[in-house]
Amino acid sequence: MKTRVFLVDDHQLFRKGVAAELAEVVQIVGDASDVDTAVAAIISLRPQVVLLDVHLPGGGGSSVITRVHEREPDVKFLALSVSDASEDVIAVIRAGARGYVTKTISGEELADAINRIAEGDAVFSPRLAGFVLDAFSAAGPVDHVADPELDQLTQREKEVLRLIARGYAYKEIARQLTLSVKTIETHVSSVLRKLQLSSRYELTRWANDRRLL
Amino acid sequence: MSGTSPTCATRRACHHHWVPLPPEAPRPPAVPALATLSRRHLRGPLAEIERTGPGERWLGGVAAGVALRLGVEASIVRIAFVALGFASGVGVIAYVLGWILLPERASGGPRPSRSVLPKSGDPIAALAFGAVVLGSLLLIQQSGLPFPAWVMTPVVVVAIGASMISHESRRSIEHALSKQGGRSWRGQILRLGIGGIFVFGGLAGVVSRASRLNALTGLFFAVVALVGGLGVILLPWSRSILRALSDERRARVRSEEKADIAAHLHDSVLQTLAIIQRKADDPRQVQALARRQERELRAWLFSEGDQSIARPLSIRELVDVIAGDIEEAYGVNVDVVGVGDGPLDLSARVLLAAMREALVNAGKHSGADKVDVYLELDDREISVFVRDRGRGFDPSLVSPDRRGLSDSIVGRLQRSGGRAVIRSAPGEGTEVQLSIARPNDAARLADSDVTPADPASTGAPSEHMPRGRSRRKARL
Repeated sequence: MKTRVFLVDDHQLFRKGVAAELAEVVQIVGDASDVDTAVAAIISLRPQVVLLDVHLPGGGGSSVITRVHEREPDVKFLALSVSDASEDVIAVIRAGARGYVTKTISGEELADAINRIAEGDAVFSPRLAGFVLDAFSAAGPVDHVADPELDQLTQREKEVLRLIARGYAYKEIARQLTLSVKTIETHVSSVLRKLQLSSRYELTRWANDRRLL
Repeated sequence: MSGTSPTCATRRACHHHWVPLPPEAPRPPAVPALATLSRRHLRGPLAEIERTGPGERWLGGVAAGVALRLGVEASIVRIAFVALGFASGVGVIAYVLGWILLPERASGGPRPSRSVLPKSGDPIAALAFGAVVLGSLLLIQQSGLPFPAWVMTPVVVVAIGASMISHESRRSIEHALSKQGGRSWRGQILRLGIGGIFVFGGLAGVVSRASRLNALTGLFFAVVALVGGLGVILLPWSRSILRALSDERRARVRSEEKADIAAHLHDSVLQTLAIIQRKADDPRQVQALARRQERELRAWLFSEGDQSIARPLSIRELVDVIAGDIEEAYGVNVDVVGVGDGPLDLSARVLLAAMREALVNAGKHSGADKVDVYLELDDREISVFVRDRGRGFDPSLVSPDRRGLSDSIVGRLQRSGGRAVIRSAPGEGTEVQLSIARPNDAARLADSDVTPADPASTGAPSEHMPRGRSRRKARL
């Protein structure tokens, strides 16, 4: 069965393009261009994966995630944006998105990412991997550490992220580190959990301070 | 981006490109149902009166609305309503009727007038205004309140004088700011003088009458009259000057900002769009142009502070610049992901020069349409990975005369104490890994290292690198 996908993006042309490109591999159940209609439609249609633009009129992508998850915690979100502004991306991930890809991604890669998200994995683009490495490597005091394990990445996780940032696919990373693809996915999911739950002071400060290109 | 578009030779002649957004359409007024119904029954000048909205009213906006229609200061109408209220409640009834019957004004309409006198050139309004003032005065006298005629008459005289001064000063300031010349000073001084005479005459009337009471009260009234008179003459003048000046300054700042944005968009986005139109048949070039423009625009939008202040580039920024150059020159997408940033020192420059060579190779030979660049800085080292998924090659088969790889990438880095690793196989793309130690680390190592630095060293920080750092030779 094809993955049921909902599109949220304020550019109609972009929604059309993505729908056309993905029509073969996934089932597009609907689309919306602003926060309120998106929340209502997602709650009634219950797609497996929502493809969500980070920048949306009426509150931004993160508010869609927060409001949908109050009612339907099982809907999974994949953030999609031309924005490389780290604070936006980190905000969407911390709101609960399972991954982030840039709009320059190819249709094939996007379909692959959607299916992986539907199966419960996390999807990191090279840029997101870079953001995460940057955020966690920032030195400085840690604020109210509830769980120190959440505040740093293991050596293996860093290795995996670095390879993602270098543009490697999971399969290639697995080959290079002589691990299984499933193990790579476990590492990435663990990084995502840390990114969402960490109280690390730098993470917020970093995201606020930096306006990387 | 120095070329000019075919449609505009110079920026001056090209302002038509910058079209300001139309002002937001006024929202429909929030009119209560009763008012909507009753409005149709209002006829004539009354129908044009609308109650003012929140922020411009004290109670229901009736007085301010009437004042707006008449073109006078709202407080005068308010005083009239209060006076009429004291006189047998007519004012209260009129106000309540107005509240019910008059519709509320849409926000964003004309600002309430600051004038004490009705709009000039509106005789009906002036007549109505006069009638309201006279009627109010008569009612006050009839109402038996302690306002004897010797107070009322001077008050009217002072009010007329003050309004003349206020009106005159505002007009003269508007005139001065519009710099249009041609207004007679004599008439202005005459009007100001007459206003002053009215004010002082009225005050003198009060004082002379009051001074007959007793010496102390007389002195008190005289002082109050003098201070009050000067205040009446000077206050509107200084207030209107200040307001006019700050309005003017705000408008100027706004228009300067707009001109800045227009100039920037013209120099960047519009030029690129013009070039894209001419190269519409070459998708790769159009894509490269669009990406470069996006990069620039984003840098401009998201950078803080003044762009005109020259500032040395950081490592990240130079990587972005190089990536943009390569995109433009070879029509490939260069995706840069960076972790950390730092100042552009000598060793970083060497590394980035090698990175540029690696990117040129990828752009020229790989056949891939996308190259990933990953930059990572930590305390000890800067590393760059340049990866493409192009046709790749067998490194062992590269002929020794291919200087690009061995000289500009591997050799250059080794001379500075860095290292280069090239991984490639036919059909699997190529990855070039470049790294070099950061100078502060090199200095620290040199301090702690017992081995003396090479005497031939010229003092460049990267040349203090212990030899062990470059032990990993390039695998070619």
